[in-house]
Amino acid sequence: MAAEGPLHVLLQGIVLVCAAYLGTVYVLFLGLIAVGAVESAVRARERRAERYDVLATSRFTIPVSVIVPAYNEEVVILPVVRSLLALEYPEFEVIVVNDGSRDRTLELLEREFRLIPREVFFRRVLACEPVRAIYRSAVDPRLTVVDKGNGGKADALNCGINLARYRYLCCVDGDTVYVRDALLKGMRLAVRDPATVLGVTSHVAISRRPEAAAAAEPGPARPDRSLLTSFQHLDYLRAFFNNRLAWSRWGFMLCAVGAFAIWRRDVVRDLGGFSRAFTCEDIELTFRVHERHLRERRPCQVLCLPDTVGTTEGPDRVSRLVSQRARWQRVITETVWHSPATGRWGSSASPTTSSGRSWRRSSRPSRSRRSRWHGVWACSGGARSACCSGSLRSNGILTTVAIRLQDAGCYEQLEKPSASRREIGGRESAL
Amino acid sequence: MCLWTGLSGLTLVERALHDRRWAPVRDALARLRDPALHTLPAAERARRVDALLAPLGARTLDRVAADSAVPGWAAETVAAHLVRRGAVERLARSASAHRGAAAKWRRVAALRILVRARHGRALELLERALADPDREVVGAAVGLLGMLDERRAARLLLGALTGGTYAPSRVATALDHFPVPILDLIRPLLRHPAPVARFWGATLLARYRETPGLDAELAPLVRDPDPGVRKAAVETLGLVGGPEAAPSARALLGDPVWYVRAHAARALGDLRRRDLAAAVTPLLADREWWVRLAAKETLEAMGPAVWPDVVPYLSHADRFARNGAAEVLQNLGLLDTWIVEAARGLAPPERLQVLRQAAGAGEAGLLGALRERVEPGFRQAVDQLVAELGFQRAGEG
Repeated sequence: MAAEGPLHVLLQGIVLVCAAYLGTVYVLFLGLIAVGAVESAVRARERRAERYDVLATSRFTIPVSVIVPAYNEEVVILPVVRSLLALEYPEFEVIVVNDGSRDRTLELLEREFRLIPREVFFRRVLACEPVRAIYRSAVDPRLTVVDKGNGGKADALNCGINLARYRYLCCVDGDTVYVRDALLKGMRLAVRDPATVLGVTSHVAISRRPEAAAAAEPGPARPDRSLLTSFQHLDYLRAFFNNRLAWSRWGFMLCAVGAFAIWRRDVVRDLGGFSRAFTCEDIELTFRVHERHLRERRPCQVLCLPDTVGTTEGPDRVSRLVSQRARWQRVITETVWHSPATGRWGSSASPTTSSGRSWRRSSRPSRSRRSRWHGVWACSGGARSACCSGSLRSNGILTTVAIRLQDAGCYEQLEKPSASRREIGGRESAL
Repeated sequence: MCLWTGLSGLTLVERALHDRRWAPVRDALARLRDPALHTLPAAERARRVDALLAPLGARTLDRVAADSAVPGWAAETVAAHLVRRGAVERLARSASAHRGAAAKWRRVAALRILVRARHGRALELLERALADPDREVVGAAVGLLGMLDERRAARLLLGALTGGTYAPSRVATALDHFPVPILDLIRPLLRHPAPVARFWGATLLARYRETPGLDAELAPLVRDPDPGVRKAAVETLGLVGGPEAAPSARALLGDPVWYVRAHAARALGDLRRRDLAAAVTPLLADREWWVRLAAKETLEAMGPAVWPDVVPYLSHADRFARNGAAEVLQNLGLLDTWIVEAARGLAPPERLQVLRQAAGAGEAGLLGALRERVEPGFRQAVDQLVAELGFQRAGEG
């Protein structure tokens, strides 16, 4: 037997490191699955014990402003808005923000809901592109449509928040059709402890034709027959049920997804709204909410439901799917890179993925200088502030180990002083 | 790879087993829907139901009876069957205490079954659950107490409300939906030393708005030191009405706390009295956005007859007041009507002056909205009028 050369030893070392790394990752995944299963069981039991009939008609259920940013959504916008207006919830408003669509989105809404232009003088608490017109529906007074210049999803959401009148916001996507009890299921957790539960998110299914989901009979839904869509559906299930539920239980939710995120309005306003500097504003806001509350030592929970609250449209081609996933990973990295929550200890890479966002046509490019980074697993300040995410590059080789020093500059710009907490003061304690 | 394949296989097997376990339950529930069964005398119906459900295991039936997704009638039938089957002792044991997470949810399920079966021991066990340190058990107990039609259950809920045992809004929800009237139990809350109790006392009275004299009971609360209580009192006064409602709400229009002023304005709107418009219009110039919004919505709710009170605010020194007045006139449809009249040459000179002021107050966006709203046939005439009146300067305001 020949003596082992240095190359052989080196290769052996690399294999051992890779094996140890993979072992760690699998153990982590198994742990997440176990915790996710426990969280799912707890939530399911809670749900079985809840009196939804009473909650759905209670005048003490906190009203919600549903904000729907829409950009070139002519194919699905009508079923989406119909599904939102059909939500079973005592009091809510739907604000559709047409983000400078170049298709017939606004025209279809005008025709279907008999929109009447109104001049409404609203507070410009959050910066956004100029509003061209505001419409109210003559068919359903709960519907407001805002027509504004294109500025991306975050800009559209900020515009909707300026017009929102209720204490809770439900930020949804313009291409997702929602189930009737989506809001009730989400707000159930928020009203239980409004002082602590700042956000609630949930799971959405994927389909090539989400509008078909609205017309489907109640009961278990059939999965889409397209291979690519089924793959995405499974991937969403995995991301939500394996990861998010565990994160929800541990109190470090990575992302309240853009397709369905309930937020306490004063929290979003105090943080200066959604950041227009990041492409995936949902992850970025979730990070900032955690960061601010941890820093100020205030109680904070962003919870995830185990329920499917709607059906969204997924990429219909492999190339688009790859581009979508690459973008998600890039913005996670951007967000962690810029987040003061990651502290001085920096970020290290982990080949996990996250999913759940479907705003993929934002016209505003990311301004990050560090888009070359592909994955992170950021931990800081103990387990509660740890946020997990990351990626594996398409060639399967982990490429990124990022160490960074604290760089909170860009966050300070986003946080604007606001007196909005007073709006909730005096009533929060009573609830 | 083997691990993931194994887990996937396990998931599929588990799903198949679940479907197999639940097939007889689905079948039994379908048979329970039989209309003929519901026409039978009670004893005969119980005998048939018992025969139908006898083959099913007790744990399966527990899950059916405790599941809020199962229709009420079916869950109650199954719960009653479980009681007849002699499961009371077992359920009472589970419902009395718990140790560990799994036992906690078994406890909640047992409580639910006993409540659905209207069993005599349910109340005593719920009282014990209400005192449990676990918040989820307390939450379940609150919801279940609201299903019982016994006044003692209402007293327990009121105790939870005043004692801060659980989220007051959830306890109040249970009280607001309580199956029997409990007005006499709520009234003492109005004089309770804790502000949160007075707040909910005033709020819960709205359910009994038909009862005469409630306004007189609520009126003293508009002078309460706690702003939350004043807000609740005026909100309920708006719903209840009565001779004390309007003076009390008017008194709160100048309250130092903004949300009290906003609710006072809305309460006056709920009373639907046009003569109160003059009291609300000063709030168009309030320093708080929410109060201005409430004033605008109240004036709109009072109807087009409020315009004489609103028009002076078109020339108010405060820009928000001018804007608000223009918005109210627009939302009432008055500006559309007036501008078309003016375009036809039917408007008196003072109306033209009001339109000029409205355009200035409403700024550029108002003109855009107006132009879009008028019938297409009139747009040219409206454009001409806009130019004649010098509306093009409106955007500079």
